[in-house]
Amino acid sequence: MNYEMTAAERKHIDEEKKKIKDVPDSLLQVLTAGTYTDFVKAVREAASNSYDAGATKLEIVIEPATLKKDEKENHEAVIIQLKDNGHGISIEDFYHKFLQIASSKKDPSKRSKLAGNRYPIGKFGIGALAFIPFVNEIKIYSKKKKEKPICCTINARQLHASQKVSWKEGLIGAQKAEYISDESWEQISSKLDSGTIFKITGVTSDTFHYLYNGSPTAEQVKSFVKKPSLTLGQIEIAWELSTILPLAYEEDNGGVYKKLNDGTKPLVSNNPSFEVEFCGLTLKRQIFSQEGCQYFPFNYNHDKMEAKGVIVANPSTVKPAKANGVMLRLNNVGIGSYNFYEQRLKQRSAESRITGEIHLIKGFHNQITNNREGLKLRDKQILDFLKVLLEKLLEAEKGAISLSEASAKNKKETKDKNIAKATKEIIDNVKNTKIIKGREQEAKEKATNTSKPKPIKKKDCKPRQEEHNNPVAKENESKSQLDFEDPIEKFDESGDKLTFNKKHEIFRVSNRGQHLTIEIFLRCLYIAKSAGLSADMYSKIIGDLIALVKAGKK
Amino acid sequence: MSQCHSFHSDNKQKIRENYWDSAFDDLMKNDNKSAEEIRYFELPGPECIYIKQVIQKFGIKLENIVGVEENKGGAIPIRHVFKGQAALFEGNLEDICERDTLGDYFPFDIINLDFCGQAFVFNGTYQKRWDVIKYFFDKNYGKKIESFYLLLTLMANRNNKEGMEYLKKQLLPLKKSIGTTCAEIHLDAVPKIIIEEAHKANYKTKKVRRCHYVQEKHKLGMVTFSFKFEKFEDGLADKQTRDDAYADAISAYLKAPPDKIDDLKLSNS
Repeated sequence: MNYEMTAAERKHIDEEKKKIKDVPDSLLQVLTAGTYTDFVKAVREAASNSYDAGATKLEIVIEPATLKKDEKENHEAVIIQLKDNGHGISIEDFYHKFLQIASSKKDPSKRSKLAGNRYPIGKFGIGALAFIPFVNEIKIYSKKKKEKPICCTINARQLHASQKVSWKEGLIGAQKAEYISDESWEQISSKLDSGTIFKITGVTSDTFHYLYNGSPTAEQVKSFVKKPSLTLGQIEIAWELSTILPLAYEEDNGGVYKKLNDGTKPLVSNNPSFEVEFCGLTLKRQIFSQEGCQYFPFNYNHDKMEAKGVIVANPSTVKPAKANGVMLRLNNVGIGSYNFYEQRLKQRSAESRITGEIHLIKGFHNQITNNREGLKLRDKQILDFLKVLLEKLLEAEKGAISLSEASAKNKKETKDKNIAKATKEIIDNVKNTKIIKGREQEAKEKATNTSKPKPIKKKDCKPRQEEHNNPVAKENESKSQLDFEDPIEKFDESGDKLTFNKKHEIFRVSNRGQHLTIEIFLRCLYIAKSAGLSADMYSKIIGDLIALVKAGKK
Repeated sequence: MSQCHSFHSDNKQKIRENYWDSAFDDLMKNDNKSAEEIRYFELPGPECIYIKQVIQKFGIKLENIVGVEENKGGAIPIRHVFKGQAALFEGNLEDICERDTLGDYFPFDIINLDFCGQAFVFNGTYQKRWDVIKYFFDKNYGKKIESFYLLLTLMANRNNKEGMEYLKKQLLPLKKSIGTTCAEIHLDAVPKIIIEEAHKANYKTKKVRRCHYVQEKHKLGMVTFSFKFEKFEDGLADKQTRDDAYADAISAYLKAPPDKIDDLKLSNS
């Protein structure tokens, strides 16, 4: 069914437009400069609004997902769509709430029917307008149950350009709202009874670069998503959404969530989760624990304030790096970011291995800062809470230190075992290797039918004293990791010289005239090197080899 | 693009399973193409019924799928199926081909032009629609693809008088009796036109299937075709080879009667 606006409706809309509040230049500058919010936060705001509209599912897609090599940058071609199954909006809502900055009357301390009897989570009172600094056009398709579906357009590019008029005038000139047919809505929404679809067409140059290259801190979250097709910028957005929004948990590597669910259940929330799919990836919340971690349940119940959570000490650095610290959650929504609440731990190495989350269940709603990024730190109740939290953090620090000590002990034991194994392998391999005689020696033996070389008189082989006194040679010997590129000469007490050179892979026992080519020998030496052999150990192995060669092993 | 607003019907599903699925099966079994490498072009429609089917059934990758949707509203739900990974172009296919917007995305192993619309209205629309088919042939040849499928679905009615006369003319050299219904004329004439286009583009026609059906709850009939093409060895074969291949292809399809929709089975029947 098609809907046309009646004269009465048009008049009503004109009245609604007049009610749009003007915005002071200072706030507008901040808004348009993107300093009050940034693109990631704009996506988060839109997602929060979906939740507050009672949505159980939100899908976000970005097109193109990645850029092909040599593909030209085309900001206009970028399309971002957000689709939710919330209660939708009417044309009146569009003018009354959508286009009004800071008109939001959401009270996070009270459940809201509009939000599906959930505690609302949106914070800035900006909603879709948060996208304006970053995009060219926003189209909003929406439908409330049993009401006419609508399509509203905001020409953000026009708004950027309209600097000489007031915010209100600019916005009125850059927006449009109309009804669409039921058939169109069914097609667009895949037959939702109610919901909202944002379609963003075209982004600014900065946003384009952000989407496909990420921000300077993108490396801190790079490990968050293994999916190869997500760009760094998209991974950052996925990180932000998954840590802040109320999402379902994913099994963590350390098994902390599973264990907690079996027993103490400290991960309690007062708000249900909803499903968010971002670029084909279903986002989940995680406790960033590792195998072999220690976890410390946290329970706080004091002075009408209640909080529950867990702190985890990992055996190695928390990944991604941004998950280092503790995240507070109010109404199942992340407050600010992971941090140590200005109480740094004593040992930095332990600090890099601590992560965790704590749900603020009762008594904290008025203790959150206005921008909902942290706690009001001057309040005595909060300071008491933080004291208890710090004690738990220190306990976790001790856990991290003991894990680290145990790990270092294991590493040393493993290293010693490896060295012993490597040495044995070298000796075994040398024993099993043929000794190939030099051609000259072979010819001689053939002629004389002797296989044994003549012994060399000691007086004929004098050690090269000048080399022993050579500071360069001495320096080489004192190196803890010997360089196989340099030729090394070793002597034994009889004056026999064993020389080896990586390039020729030949080990020559010079006084006998034999050429010892041992193919496998170098590999053994590399095993020894990788096991971290010291110079002393190395010399010992060479000594053993000389002994074997002398013994004429075949 | 499509005249049909709803694509949920048994007859349409029969075509999907018997004609379209067969193309994927054949390429994977006989042409050693893996599901991960097959590149597919389609006019998906807002519900993306067949896209979802090939992904689930064959494991075709989203990154290897390209679609065009004329209706802006229709493109919105398609994006949520494509998830930014398959390429979607909004607009009229004829204009998109004229601008060579799809150029970088070739070659395609399977091209599914599910027009469900007229192709022989003797004015600009007719001409452009055939330019689309020529475009796909030329582009695929340019990328040296050895074999590929063309799936084509047209409306069997509503062509104008000039269009119908054009079709009938195609049958005269074949000395084929001209059918009495629009659908029959389409079923006989369209393959000849396609085979000729293929030969001009240096592809010989290896397989032709054709079928007429009426989609439930719709009055208008459709004619649907499946063609498999193979590049002539060495690209430009000599005239005799080409003439022989052409004659073989024409006689082969004329010998085999069109499929009857009632004879095609559904997988769950």
